[in-house]
Amino acid sequence: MPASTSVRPRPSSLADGTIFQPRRPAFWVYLVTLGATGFVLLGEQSFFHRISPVGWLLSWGLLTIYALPVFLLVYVLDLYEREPLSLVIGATLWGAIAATTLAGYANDGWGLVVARVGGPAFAARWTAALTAPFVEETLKGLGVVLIYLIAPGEIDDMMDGFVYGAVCGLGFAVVEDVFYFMGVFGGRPSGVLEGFFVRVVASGLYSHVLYTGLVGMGIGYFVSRRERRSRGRRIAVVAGLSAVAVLAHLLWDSPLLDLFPARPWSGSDWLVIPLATAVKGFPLLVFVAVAVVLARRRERKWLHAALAGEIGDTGVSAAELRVLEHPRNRRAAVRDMRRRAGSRAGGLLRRLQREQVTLAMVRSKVAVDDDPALVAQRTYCGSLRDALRAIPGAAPADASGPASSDAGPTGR
Amino acid sequence: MAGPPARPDATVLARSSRGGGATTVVVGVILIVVLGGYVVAGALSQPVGPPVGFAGVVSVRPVSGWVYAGRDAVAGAPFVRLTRGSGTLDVVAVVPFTSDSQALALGYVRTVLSTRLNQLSVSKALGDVRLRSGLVGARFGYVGVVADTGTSIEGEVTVVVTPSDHGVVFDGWAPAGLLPFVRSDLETMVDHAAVS
Repeated sequence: MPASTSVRPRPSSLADGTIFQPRRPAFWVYLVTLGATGFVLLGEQSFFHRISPVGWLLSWGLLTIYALPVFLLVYVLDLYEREPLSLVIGATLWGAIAATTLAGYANDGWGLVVARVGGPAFAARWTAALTAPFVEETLKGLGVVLIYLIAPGEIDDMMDGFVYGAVCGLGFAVVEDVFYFMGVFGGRPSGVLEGFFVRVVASGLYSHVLYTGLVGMGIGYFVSRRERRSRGRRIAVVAGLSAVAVLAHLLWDSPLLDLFPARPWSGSDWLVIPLATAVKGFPLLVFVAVAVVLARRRERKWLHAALAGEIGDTGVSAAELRVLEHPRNRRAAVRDMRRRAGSRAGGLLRRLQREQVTLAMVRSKVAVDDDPALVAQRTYCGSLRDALRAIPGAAPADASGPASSDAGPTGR
Repeated sequence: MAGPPARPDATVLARSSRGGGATTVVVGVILIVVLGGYVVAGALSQPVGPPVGFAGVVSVRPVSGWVYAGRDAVAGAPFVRLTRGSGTLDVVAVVPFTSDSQALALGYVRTVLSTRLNQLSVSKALGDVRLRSGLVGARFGYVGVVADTGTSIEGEVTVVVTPSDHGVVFDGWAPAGLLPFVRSDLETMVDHAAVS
């Protein structure tokens, strides 16, 4: 069967696929909030641009260089299921526009409370630590919650939550950094470069990406384990991970463990600054790295468990599953296919792999083996495999049957 | 055949709800986070102490945490002082005063601030301010170094001239960097001041 005749099963309630869900109230809340705060942010950026056009452009240029690789890194962390780009970008925009703007107002308000309760001297040292972590992690976390409410089918494990949370934090960090470069470091190119060193080179590994990534993991856990974990346990996990994020943020903003050299900086101070930031941020980086590794390992186990029962059916062969479980092997198989049978075959194999992951998701969500969605997905995978085998050079020499052979087109 | 392996983090297959209730909760939390601080701070900033000032001219009720710290005179004009930690509010009565608030502001800068502070820098423009009583005054900011102690301070002065020819100066100040943390209290006390 030619590839062009493979008909993809119609998307069901298993996945929402896009942020544009006008039937869901959360979509409109998201849109209205983003629009209203966008006006405020535009005004602020316009002001920065007026006071120092070069500094403003330099700020955005440097931060783009930082943010793009981080965005891609986070995006590909989810081993098997890339999140829909519109949702990932939506989460990023929430962090960059809505969360930063709302946090500006909220931090001021709660700062008044700290000053009222603690007095001016205490407030000068502790306001940032006692307001920003709670305000900002809540507002960014709500962005992930809104993404979930807009597309509930798309956050189905902790890694999904991490991805949405981390990009939301990345958006927040970028806009906040522009504010700092222009408002705190003076806005002139020299000040912007100084700010870039302090806030990105020395601190970029530790900040909002990690905090909100953790909060997102908690949200991912809460919403994806309704059937297997008690509500109390799920609340404990999301509260615990959020508490770690808030405490790490609080430590970062507090005068505790503050080894920063006094300004103006010169000479060895520039070496001390990265050490000072590492003291506060490195433990959290390790914590998040371990959490991500564990979550990815769990995903791998899930994929194996979900597809093991499918072996022998039309959806996936044992050899294909062995390849599918390891992203490196998947990429190698696609490269090998492209070399043997051309780029069209390589693209088709990648599509087959993606749909086999979808098959795993469908299988884990339906109640019976002959659920129409599951049958349709199996058939679709089979048709992709047939189309692939029809391409000269794509089929392995011992390919003898549908997916029953131990060496399908993806087998190595 | 046994049921399919449940994904460790499986989500619900079909969601009939569109999430209206949860979305309402999200909106509520946003409102609480963004506005809650102002509401709580406002509740904590209500005037609570007995009024201090000058009978028939001005009286100020300190908000919680602020205490009466005595009275004295400066450049021939009496003043009362309220303090909270490193924040201070001086309320100066200039009686009689027959000119306008701009003249009162200039006079305060020349006769008080510039004689007590070194390196005085005053904001270029006067801002309008309307007190809760309806009186309209003027406001400006300044920074300087206290001549006696060498301490850098920053302050915010509000001047009001009443129809009965009373001039009142509210000079709120704090060590450099701390004014933002007492400004809300200062403005609350000035706003609620009874000026006649």
